[in-house]
Amino acid sequence: MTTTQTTPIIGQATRRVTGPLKVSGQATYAAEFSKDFGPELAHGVLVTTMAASGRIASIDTEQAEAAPGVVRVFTHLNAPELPYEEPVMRPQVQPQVGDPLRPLQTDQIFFSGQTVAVVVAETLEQAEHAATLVRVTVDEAPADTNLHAARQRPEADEEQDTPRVSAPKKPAENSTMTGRPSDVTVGDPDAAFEAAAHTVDLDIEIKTLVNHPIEPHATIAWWEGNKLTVHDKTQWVDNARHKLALAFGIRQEEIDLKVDALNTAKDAVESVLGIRESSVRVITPFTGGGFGSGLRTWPHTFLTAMAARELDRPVRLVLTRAEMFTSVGHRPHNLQRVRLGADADGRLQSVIHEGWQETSVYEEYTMNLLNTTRMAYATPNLRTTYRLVPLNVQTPTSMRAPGECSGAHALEVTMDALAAEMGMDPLELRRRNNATHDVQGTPFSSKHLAEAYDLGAEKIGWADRPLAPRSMRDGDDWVGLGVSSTFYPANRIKASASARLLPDGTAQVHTAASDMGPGTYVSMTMVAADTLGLPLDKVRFALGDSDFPHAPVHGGSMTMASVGPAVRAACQAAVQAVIELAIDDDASPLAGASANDVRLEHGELIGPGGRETLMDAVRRHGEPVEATAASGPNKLQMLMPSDYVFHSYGCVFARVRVDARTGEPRVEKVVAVNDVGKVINPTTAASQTIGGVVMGIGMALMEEAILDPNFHRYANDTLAEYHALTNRDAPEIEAHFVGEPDYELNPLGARGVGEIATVGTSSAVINAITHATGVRVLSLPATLDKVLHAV
Amino acid sequence: MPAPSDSPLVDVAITINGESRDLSVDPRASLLDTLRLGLDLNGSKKGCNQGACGACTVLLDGERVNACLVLAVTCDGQEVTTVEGIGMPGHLHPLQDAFIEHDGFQCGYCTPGQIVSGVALLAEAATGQPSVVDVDLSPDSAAHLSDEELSERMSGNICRCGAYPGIRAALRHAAQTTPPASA
Repeated sequence: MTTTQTTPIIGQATRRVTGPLKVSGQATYAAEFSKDFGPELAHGVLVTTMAASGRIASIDTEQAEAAPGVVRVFTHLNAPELPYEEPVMRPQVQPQVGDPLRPLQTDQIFFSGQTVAVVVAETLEQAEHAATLVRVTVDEAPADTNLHAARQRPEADEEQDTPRVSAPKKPAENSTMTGRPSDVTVGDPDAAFEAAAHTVDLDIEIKTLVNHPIEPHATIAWWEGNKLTVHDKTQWVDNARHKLALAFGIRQEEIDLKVDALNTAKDAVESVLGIRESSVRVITPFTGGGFGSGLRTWPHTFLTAMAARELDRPVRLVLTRAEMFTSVGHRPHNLQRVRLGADADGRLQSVIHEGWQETSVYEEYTMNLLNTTRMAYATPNLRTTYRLVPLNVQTPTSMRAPGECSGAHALEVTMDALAAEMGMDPLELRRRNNATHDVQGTPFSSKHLAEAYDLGAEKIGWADRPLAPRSMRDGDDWVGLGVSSTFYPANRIKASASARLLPDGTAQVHTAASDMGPGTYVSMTMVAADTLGLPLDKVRFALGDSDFPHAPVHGGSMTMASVGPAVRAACQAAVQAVIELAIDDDASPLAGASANDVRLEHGELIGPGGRETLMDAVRRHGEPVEATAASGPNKLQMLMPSDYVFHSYGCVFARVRVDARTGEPRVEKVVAVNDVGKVINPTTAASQTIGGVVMGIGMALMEEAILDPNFHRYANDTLAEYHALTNRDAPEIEAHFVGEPDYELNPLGARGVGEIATVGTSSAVINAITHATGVRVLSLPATLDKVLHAV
Repeated sequence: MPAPSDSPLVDVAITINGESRDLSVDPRASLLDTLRLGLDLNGSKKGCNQGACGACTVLLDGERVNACLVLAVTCDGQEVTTVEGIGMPGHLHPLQDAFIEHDGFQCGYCTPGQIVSGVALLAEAATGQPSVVDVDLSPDSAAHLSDEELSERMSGNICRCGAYPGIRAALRHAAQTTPPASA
């Protein structure tokens, strides 16, 4: 008899199935497919501009072209004009207003660090050297990167052709709660603020942060006739395929139908076309982090594919760490003003939250900066105001909890200021304002925030915390405890998967999803094994190939909630196919039964007249049994009409020490408690939470891309000077989960962990520093110079 | 690959994971690029190419170094151990097993560097090499390293996924169960 699984899998702490490959360096990331090519593989290196605005006056490539090993130097003067067709509907990861940067298709310079040439040579060393020989001169125009000054400019009017401060032109689906509207007003927030017993009014600044996955973005591209194959570091192989097809104008009918494929199972589209293979294929089985940098398909990917086509050979291009600052997006610099008014009991009467956020001069990047404020706490009066400020920077992009992370930081620091103003415990202030519905009255699907507060308070020892700041001293250190609530919207969109049951007793499950680190491989293996009643080692799960059934972007914390149900549905469809075979097979104990009377339990098919294992039935059939299925809404769940709004909730508690001699803040312990619905794999969910906390501590204490105000260029564009947290900086971190499965969102009840994990940590740390020292740091990061004056 | 006229290739003999390799290298090529592009040993990762992230950590004559900061031409006659030489699937090093057990990684890209660094750390501690945490009191074995010591000694390896607590747990586990000889 074939092996079956009789004990539960989902919810059990489970090791990564990718573990042995990753710890031995044998997981193959995009750039490492170089091993599949011999000396035919050429190497591309970018040339970027120092100037931040203007037009290219001249590019001298003569010396570079004469350098040993150089195959070709591409500039805007000799690069082929590419179609770059506009999609019928832009994906959510792409700004809805403006034009993406089309590399080497223009002489215009929009920001410092923009690519102006690509040098392709036989070896990497030759290409790197030749790139230093390209001479670029720019007719410079005045550039502007000063957010503080620029946000004071008058707002744009329609006639104006120079960038000015503006409201989002397309606030993404006209939903005031879930889109990115310019203004939302409920009640009379100004009058309520004036009348409130207690008020606070803070200006908060969050500087530019950069995603910085340790794997740099990289592309290998080659053409066989009109067929393009690409290994690209991405969080969405399907979108990379789509974007490349549009850029090169490949198979127009396919492109149009691929747009529908965002809403349809891919195999259905392919059957319409009568093709099984696309003419663009993106294969990326491993993605070494991304945190949002891999959502879009960036200029270097198109350039690599262009060079490969022009040179008729495979080309590999890997971004340098410096180029990672200006090529794949960043979390935008933003300024926020938060006003809170409360009654004598601490109940919020007015919430006014305004945000000004940088974008580029060529695209309008919007993010959910103020959504959290519209659902976090109960208040009868509220206004949020969102303004964009175009500057000479690259277009920002999503970085882990884009918007929410920055907006919630400002809200939660201001909540602490309100508690201080009232002399109230900051946790108690949050409890009193815990909401059961968002500000427009829609109830939450499932919320266990109060339990999270209780558990977190117990674990950090909140009960012993003195209310007054500067009241805990240990040797040379001031010690403080801080708290923050956390929120992140739960989302879901249609995904598809295929399941193939083999006569050898194993199953293969495929979907075009990604795994940048959260453990998609292991969690989907668990869902498939659980559904089929097979042990984990009998399931082979694969992802990251655009020839697999369509999957949505690996972002927005929705992979588990979207792809998980698709994997389950595909496995269930395969089981149904086996049942149909068994009931028609005289050799089966299920022969003659009605399909409706046969059920699968712990890997066994059980019918009225007998039972056999699922895989015994497959083995007797002698051929693989395969099914493909899709699951989920056609549009993002948050944009669908619903009786509920879907969010995850939680809280972060931080204990910090601030050296009274130097002002240096260090985080000693963090407790994070999240309500994320069903936790599929407690091992990887805890790791995601811990990783989010680590990134949040970096945001609070040290991360900042420093823009040189004269040259408009990041002055610290290395990992030595852009300080990401190191092991020594990372404290003891506890991750806990509360709540129950959220079956209103999807059949697995999972809401996703990845992004809520990084919301709230920065504010908990800043609030803890305030408790330790009495200093409320309003501009991140809280480096020692901002604390020292007061300790 | 055609030899560039201004940059003739240089012959070197490097022992890599116990195997002697005769190589002709561009004098500008780093040890890291030589491993990855010249020998298809992709276990050593390139994260920053400037010695800041540690993803490329290898052992050079037994000492941990950033392979991106070492020119391959300088390695003539030396021994290099990469993660492939530490342990491969099916016969992993105890520290690699401990990383899996304690989930000391997420995306896996920095992980080989962490592993090589960790293997070196265990050996350094066993031979009494101090760190800034404990300059006066040299450890006599890896088993006695505090969490503060472990984190200090691992801070040349950045993990952007933030798996540091798991990395420390894996090192604690390995330090207490691995005999120094195998480190």
